[in-house]
Amino acid sequence: MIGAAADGFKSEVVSNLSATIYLDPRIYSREAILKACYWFTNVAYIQIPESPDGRIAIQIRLRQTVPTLEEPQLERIEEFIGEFCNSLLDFELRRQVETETASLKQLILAKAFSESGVLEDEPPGTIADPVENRKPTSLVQIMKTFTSPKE
Amino acid sequence: MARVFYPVESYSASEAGYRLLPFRFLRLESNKELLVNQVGEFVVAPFGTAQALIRKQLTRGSDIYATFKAKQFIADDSSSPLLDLLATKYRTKYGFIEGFTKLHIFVVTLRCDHSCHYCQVSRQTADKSTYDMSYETAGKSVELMMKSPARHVTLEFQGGEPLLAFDVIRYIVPLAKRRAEALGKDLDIVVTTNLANATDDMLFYLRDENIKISTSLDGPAFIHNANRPRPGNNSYELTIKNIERARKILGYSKVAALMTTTQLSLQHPTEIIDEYVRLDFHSIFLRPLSPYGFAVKTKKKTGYQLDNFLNFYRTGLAHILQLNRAGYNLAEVYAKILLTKILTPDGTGFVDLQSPAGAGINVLVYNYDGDVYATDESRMLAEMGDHTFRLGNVWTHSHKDIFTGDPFLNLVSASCNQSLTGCSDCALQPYCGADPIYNHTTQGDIFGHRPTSNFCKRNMTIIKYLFDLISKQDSELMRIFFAWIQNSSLSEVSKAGPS
Repeated sequence: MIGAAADGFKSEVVSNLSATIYLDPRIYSREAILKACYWFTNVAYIQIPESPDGRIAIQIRLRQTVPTLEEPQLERIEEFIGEFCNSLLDFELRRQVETETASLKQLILAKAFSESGVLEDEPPGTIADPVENRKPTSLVQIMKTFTSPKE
Repeated sequence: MARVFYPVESYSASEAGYRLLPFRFLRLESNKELLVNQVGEFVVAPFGTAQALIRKQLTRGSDIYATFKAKQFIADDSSSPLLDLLATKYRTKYGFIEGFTKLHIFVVTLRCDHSCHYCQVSRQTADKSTYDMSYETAGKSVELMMKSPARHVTLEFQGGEPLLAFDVIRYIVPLAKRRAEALGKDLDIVVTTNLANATDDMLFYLRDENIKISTSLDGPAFIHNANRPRPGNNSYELTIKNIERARKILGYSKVAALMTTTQLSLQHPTEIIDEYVRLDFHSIFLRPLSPYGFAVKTKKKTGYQLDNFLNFYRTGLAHILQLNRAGYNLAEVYAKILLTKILTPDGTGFVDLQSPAGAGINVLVYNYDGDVYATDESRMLAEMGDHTFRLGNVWTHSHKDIFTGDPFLNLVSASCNQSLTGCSDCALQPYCGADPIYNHTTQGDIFGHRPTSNFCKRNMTIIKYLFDLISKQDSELMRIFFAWIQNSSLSEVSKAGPS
């Protein structure tokens, strides 16, 4: 049975407890898929077998098969697919942020913990500002402590 | 000296696009998203904002654009030298790492007159020699403690009931003070005691040596006495009487109380809180029960589902806020720690919720027999036969041995939530922590599995709940939060709001 289809995404509900999701790897990265899968491992068994047609197939089988006192409501497979889909989009967006900012992040960390001071940038403009210079809490003063050579 | 400015066109915005700075996001209830940058500054925005931001669809000149730019989620060609500023903020947030181990817990005896269900380590024995720390071991422990590079160290006496080994305390205090003074370190001393055996002489000694007291109060008599059995079943009555006596001798501010939550406590959050108010305490820590030692063995008596604890916490916090609104200053300590991380540039040195984890890095435990553990929970595990987090022994291991040994290095490999699966993408990462010892105890490995972790669920739920409260735009509520953060009264906090 075909569940839902969208650009790069198709789901097939196999039973009340299982489904397969097909993803286009040109749209969804492996990293985002694996990260999304990880967060659903508490409620489902997830397998990603080799797929012959180039798509990524995610086989899902819900863990809970009968209602219990603690969990009287069984998860619905359609809901699971919907949540999974949202989560996948979030992780794809997160991957984009990560890709765009990874080197920046490293630089910030290096600067934050560098004791040498060699990584500090000189602030643009001039610090020949007598008004700012007089304020002990001014940005000029703060920057000075990080830009002056190590004593 | 002349003032030199860039030409005016340097300050006008160009039409070029913007670039992203590191941040994370997650969905909140009620169609909102929480976006948090690398240094913990946040924006709560309508659903879809993160997507628009990442896809570079924000319009220059819009309020949301200005907000993201000001809070350093994005940068454009008119941004100030933001990398240094971000680095400085990052360094401030992680300032608690500086100096390394600051809290040093000395287990001077395992003997205790109580037999609490949740206690992992106490022994009811009169045999002094077996479970008391010897003077020689105490001396070696002080020596090791003072090797810590921290300029300000705290020495905490624990047990068992440490006042049962008061001679050991009296041996350690002058020794530690002399060593600290010689090394130019500041030294705080705390004793964690049930006060049942505290004589006036002991209390005068603590006063004269400027030692603080942390005692246990689990709530009103029917909860406290049920949780903390002792001969005569009078722990509550003794505690109340002794808190008053200790306050008279040491001074009001030198006596603090901590509660432990059990199955019984879960039904009575307001009664417990009202008991703290009745005794004129101005802070209470709604702590979950730790999954260690006898606490695991007696699960039927003390065990409970996490959801029950979270309900208890929410009900308790609501009651506490109500009390504050009515004019009584009472801070909930866990919320205060989280709010400090959320609403200020600072981190906190709270060892149970930080990254890198506090174990070893910010706290060391010196057991009565000279064994050194990464945390109090580690030595409780050891009492159950699991010595994974025994880092060494004061007689056989140097400071260097301990911090370069396999047990410590294994521990730190799972100590940073920045690099743990599930945590690395989490928007709450700057406010949360890592707890490899909890993971090891509850899930069998130090890295843990976030989707099934109670540590993760508990902290995510509480942090999200605090964000719900923050985003209500209730100015009185924010004044209460800032009063907690600043350790001041509500009337002293004139105005406040999220940064």
